[in-house]
Amino acid sequence: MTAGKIDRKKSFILSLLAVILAAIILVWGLFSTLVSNYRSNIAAESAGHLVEINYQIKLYIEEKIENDWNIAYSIKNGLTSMGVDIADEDIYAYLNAARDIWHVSDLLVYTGDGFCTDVEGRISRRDAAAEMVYRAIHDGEYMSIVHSTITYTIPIETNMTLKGSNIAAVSVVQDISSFLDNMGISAFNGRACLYLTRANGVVISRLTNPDASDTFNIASLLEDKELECLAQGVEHSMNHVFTSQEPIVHISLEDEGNRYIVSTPIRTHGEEMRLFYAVPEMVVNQTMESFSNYITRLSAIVIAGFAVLAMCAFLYIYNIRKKRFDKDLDTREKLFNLLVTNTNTAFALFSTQSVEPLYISSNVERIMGESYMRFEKQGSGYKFVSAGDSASEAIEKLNSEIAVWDGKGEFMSSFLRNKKALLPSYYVVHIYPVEGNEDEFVGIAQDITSTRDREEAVRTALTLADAANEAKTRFLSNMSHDIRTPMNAIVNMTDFAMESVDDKEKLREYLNTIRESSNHLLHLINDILDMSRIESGRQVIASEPFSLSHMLNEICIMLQPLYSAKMQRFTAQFSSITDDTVLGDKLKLTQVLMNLLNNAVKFTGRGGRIEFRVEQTETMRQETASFRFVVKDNGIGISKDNLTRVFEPFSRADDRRVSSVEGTGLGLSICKSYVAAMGGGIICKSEKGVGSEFIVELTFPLAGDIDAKPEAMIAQHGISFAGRRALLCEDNSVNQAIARKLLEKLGFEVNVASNGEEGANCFIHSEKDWYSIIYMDIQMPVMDGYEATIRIRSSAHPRARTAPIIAMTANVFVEDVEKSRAAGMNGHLGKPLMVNELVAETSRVLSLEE
Amino acid sequence: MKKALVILMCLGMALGLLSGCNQKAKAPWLANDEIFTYDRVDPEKTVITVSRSGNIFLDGLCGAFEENNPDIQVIVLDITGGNGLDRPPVRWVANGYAPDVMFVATGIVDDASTLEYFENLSNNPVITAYESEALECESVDANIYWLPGPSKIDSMIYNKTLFEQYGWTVPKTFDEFVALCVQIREDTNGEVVPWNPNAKYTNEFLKVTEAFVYEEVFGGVDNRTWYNQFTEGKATFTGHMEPYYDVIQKLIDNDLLNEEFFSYSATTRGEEFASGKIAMINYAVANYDGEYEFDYMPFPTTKGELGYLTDFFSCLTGVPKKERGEKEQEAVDRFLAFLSSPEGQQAYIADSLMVSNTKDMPVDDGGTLASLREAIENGHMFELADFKSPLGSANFGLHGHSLSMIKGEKTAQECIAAVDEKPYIPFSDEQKPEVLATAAQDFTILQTSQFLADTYKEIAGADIGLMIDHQAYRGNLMRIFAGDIDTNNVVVLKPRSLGNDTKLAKLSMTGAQLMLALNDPVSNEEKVNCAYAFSGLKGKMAPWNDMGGKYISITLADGSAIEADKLYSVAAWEGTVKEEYITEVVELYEGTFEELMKARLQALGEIAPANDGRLQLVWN
Repeated sequence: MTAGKIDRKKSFILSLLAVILAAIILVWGLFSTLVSNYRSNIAAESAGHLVEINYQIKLYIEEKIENDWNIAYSIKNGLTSMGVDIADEDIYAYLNAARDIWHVSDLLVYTGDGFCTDVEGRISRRDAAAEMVYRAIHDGEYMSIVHSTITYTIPIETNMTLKGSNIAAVSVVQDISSFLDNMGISAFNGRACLYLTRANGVVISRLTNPDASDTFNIASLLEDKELECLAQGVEHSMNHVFTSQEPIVHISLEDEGNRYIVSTPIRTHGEEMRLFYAVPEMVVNQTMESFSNYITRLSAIVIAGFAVLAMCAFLYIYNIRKKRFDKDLDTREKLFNLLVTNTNTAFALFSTQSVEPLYISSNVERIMGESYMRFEKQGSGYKFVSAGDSASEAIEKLNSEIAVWDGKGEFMSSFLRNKKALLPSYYVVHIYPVEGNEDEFVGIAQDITSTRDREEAVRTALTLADAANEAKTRFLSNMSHDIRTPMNAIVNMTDFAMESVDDKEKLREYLNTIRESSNHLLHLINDILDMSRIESGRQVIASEPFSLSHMLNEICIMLQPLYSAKMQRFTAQFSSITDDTVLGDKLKLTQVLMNLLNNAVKFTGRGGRIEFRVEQTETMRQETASFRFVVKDNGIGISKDNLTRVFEPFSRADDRRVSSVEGTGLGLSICKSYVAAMGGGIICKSEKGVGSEFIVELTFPLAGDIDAKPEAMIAQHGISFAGRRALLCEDNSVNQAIARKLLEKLGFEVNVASNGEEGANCFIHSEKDWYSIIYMDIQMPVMDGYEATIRIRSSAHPRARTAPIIAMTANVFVEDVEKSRAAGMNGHLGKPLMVNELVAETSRVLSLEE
Repeated sequence: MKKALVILMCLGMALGLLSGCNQKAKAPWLANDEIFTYDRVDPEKTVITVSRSGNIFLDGLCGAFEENNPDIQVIVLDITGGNGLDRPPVRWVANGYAPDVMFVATGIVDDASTLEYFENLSNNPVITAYESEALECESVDANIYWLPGPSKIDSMIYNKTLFEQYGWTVPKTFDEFVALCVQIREDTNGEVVPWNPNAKYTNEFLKVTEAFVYEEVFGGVDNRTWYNQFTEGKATFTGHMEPYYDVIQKLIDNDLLNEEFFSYSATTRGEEFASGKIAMINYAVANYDGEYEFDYMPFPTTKGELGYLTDFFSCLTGVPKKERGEKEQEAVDRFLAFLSSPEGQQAYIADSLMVSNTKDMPVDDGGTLASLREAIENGHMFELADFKSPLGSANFGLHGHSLSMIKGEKTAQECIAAVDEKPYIPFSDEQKPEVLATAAQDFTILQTSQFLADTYKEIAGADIGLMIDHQAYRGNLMRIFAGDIDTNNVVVLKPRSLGNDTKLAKLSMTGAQLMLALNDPVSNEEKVNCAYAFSGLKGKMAPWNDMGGKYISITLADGSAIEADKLYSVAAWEGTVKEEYITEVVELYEGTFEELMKARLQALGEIAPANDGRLQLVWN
């Protein structure tokens, strides 16, 4: 999965979460707003309720005071109406009656000399009494309040006397502590506190709730509290609490629970007081709170349910997506791990802000030889920090290059060597900045060992090609010389032979020269063709039983004229061979050994010594036999410089001694290729001027005994095919002539067909035993030899399947032989035709039908 | 020599610093340079300090509190009241020497300028114990900073034994009072002074003189109207206050009021009353046990047969703002709660003439107040007329004019005219203090006592100077604060009970007498647990040891031993060394305490605690 897809998934999940969160916030916000408004309404309602209660109490108090004033005036009027001569006892009787009638706490009468008495005759301090009368006279009336007791004093201007002194004033005394009891206000079940204070906050009376805080001054009780004014647009201040001309409600925020504080001014008869009503918010809002809590709980349940459903839905979708995502991630992880493991590219994500790499693939150590690296900003450039104490040579080189990189665009290092790898290993590092994040970088380390090897190989190949080209140029030069030399002999000797037809001796001499030059030329061509096949990789090793000793003897026989001609001493030793018959390619082995021996003869001077030794060596398997073939001479030897190139094709020692020797320069190369193809090895030991020693080691599967080859018989006994008729299918007239001549020399009556179709028709339409054998060229016009053979074999001729057919073609390679056989031919002869081969093959094929 | 002096000074400073450092680590009553108390402090107990300024008796209260709270020990500190001058209690608090609880006489610290130093008690649960009127009366800025003490009723105190012995009757009117005084003088041939008002103190003098004329000048609605109008500046003394001055003149005329009374030591006066030398007084400093029986009578008045009483708060109790430990705070809370309880009030009042201002305290209905009950029940009680306004007070005029009339400087009419001319005498005009010297740093009380002893020694040129330390009677209770020292401060420094006729004396004492005197300081004829601060001596003392065993070692200042038979000259105020320890009074020096100190301070210019290591305190 690509990074883009992962990002899209993340984006989707985040979006989903954001939507759910937004929905919850929206619902919760609406709910909160609803509840907040609801609570505000409750608070406003509660405040209004409290103000109303307070206002009622204020009215009650004011009314009560007014009423008490009226009582005081009534008593005064009653007293003054009693006349001036009334006795003290009558005055006390009146006062007692008035007290009971008006339900006042006490009545006081003052005289001008400062005497003050109550209804019981108790006398007050004179200084206080005088002050009270003074105040009453001064103000017209005087109300004093001392600790729940209000005294209403009214001056009297009369000649009435009490205890001998003029009555100056009368006071009605009321205890106000029972105000609320009289009002019948439950005051929130006694949990409210009602204070009547002076204007400055000094408590006159705590009218209810004996458990309420007792304080001298309500202001000192409130000054440490945090108050919030509920009236809109009114900022809280303690001064405002005590000066507000209207009832004002505050909430006192207290640890043990908020309280409503209602402050209401009371103004009557010149006296300023203030009513403070303190009720726990919880108590006031209790009823409202109950409904509010129900709504809150219900809403909370709905929201919680919604939230749970949303969460479940989210979790369900999330789990499905997560599983899919995890699976994809797992697959990607595996893929990535496989890629990382099996590719030669390592990845990393670095942040210059992070101590650890954000990501680093596991193959980084294999590629770079570093298990951990940190990427840091250093000055204006950057640097890598290895896990070890010191940076490796490669990291130091990398850091020297990256130190000047500005962090923009792509950075690519030069080839860096991973010295910790077992084999020489190289890599390059690319670094790209992450778009949109200047602190993050992608690092890629690429193993370029194979690329580098390929480049090296190409470079080597180019060098080799150049060398080969040079060798071929040299070869062509040599070939030009080597081919032209025998051709020169053939052409000129042919001319000489034609001019000397009459001189038989000279003619034979010329013809011998022509034949030798032709053989040399044929040999040359064979070598070239073999080399060509080897280079094209098409050489096929045959596997057929042959007698090793027989083959070696043949070689010795073939070699004998050569070393004899140079008066060389030749020794052969094969005594250690115990397993003589093996499966292998006799022809190629013969070619290898002959090549080596021929070289030995060629590069050994007259009278030199040539040693040919074959030893059977130890083998690991019983069904095989191993041999070491040694060809040693004391010839010119090979210099050390040339020794390394002796097996290279088209190479000949740069030696004037060699240049005088005929050769293609392909012999040893062909030998090496053949030996290698046969699973063996060849080495050369040589010292210039001392001689050379070539050692070939080969192993062959063992085979049973085989019969002797017919060629030997032919060679030894001479054969005639007289009385037999041969069909020669050959399009080339020269070849027709040569083949007809050779076959006729062997005794055959020869019929010629110019192409395959004609040949096939001749045979198919012939009588049963009319033709003893068919010689079939392969490359012919109209119909080639293969098709013609197939037609013959598939014909209705009585001998269609058994009639001997021998391929006689320039296609001489093993696969050509196999192809001929596959077409239905029984034998194969290569051009140019060699008489021995022709006899042997013909004999063999004829014997098959017999 | 100078070099050696400098080295010694450096060493002294270093030692001083070291001792200062050590002092920090210790409880204050384990200081190296101060004796908080001569009573042993129990280290297992939570200790609180309670100060008193003025004639306030706390022994009963503190004793009862400690008995009820055995885990708490109360150290009572005497802080000079200062008679309104310089207000030492405020200076103590303001300078970081605040006790945990302060008892002060009214008028000392009950104004708004001192509120920052004291806890607001408006919300303290203890206030519920007090009558609202009392609380409101002593409220400041509509808050409670001071708890009202019991109201002290002032009346005439007479020697009932003498009265019975001579057949004198209790006078009901002022004229009877004057006649009785004349008779007493005659009956006793002048050996018994008929009456000695506490004329030294303005308010004490005015209480009795106002009572004499209360019916005429203050009682009744008309007089109250005049009084209120006068305080508002709308009425004059002329035409109203003449009876007051008539009474003063009558007392003068009958030799019942003389100049000496205006400087008479209250303590001496009390002692003389207790010893039968004075027949009547109007202010009792203490209760005395003796051969005489005393009783109370209302102040007789010029009009009517029932005399008058005055009342005022005996004291106010405040709690200075101070960092306290949790235990100390709890102890203070418990102390206030006890004080406000009936038990605490009873312990404070004991058998003195007081009425509690708490709600639950029953009024004595038969014992102490029996002789005054009639006056009380008939409302014959009044609060001292306070001719105060924001501009000043005429009270000092009334007081001062009486002295002027005695001296013949002014007639009654001239005095009345003077009041009308300048009815209010601003406080700032009372005395303009003169700066005499500067103190480099705060002195402890012990260092102050030592400074005084040094001063006496220098003035007298004596070998040794002695000053009773931490003792109200003729001892030093005051500390000198860093900064300017003015004449008011010198007045405050003056040892209590030291009359103007008392002289600084140069005494001749043998070494043996000196040693005996040091272990037996005189204090009002009673053995009081205290010690002398000295000059010219060097010693080691354990203040918490019993009397007679406080000095562990004592030598002359140079370290040489005090020889028992050798005579030494000792400077001390008269009456501060018991006569039995004096071989001879060599010389008396003219001048009051204030005069001598003023001259000395001016001569010094700048003073600092001696810190000469003369006294090493041992607390173990």
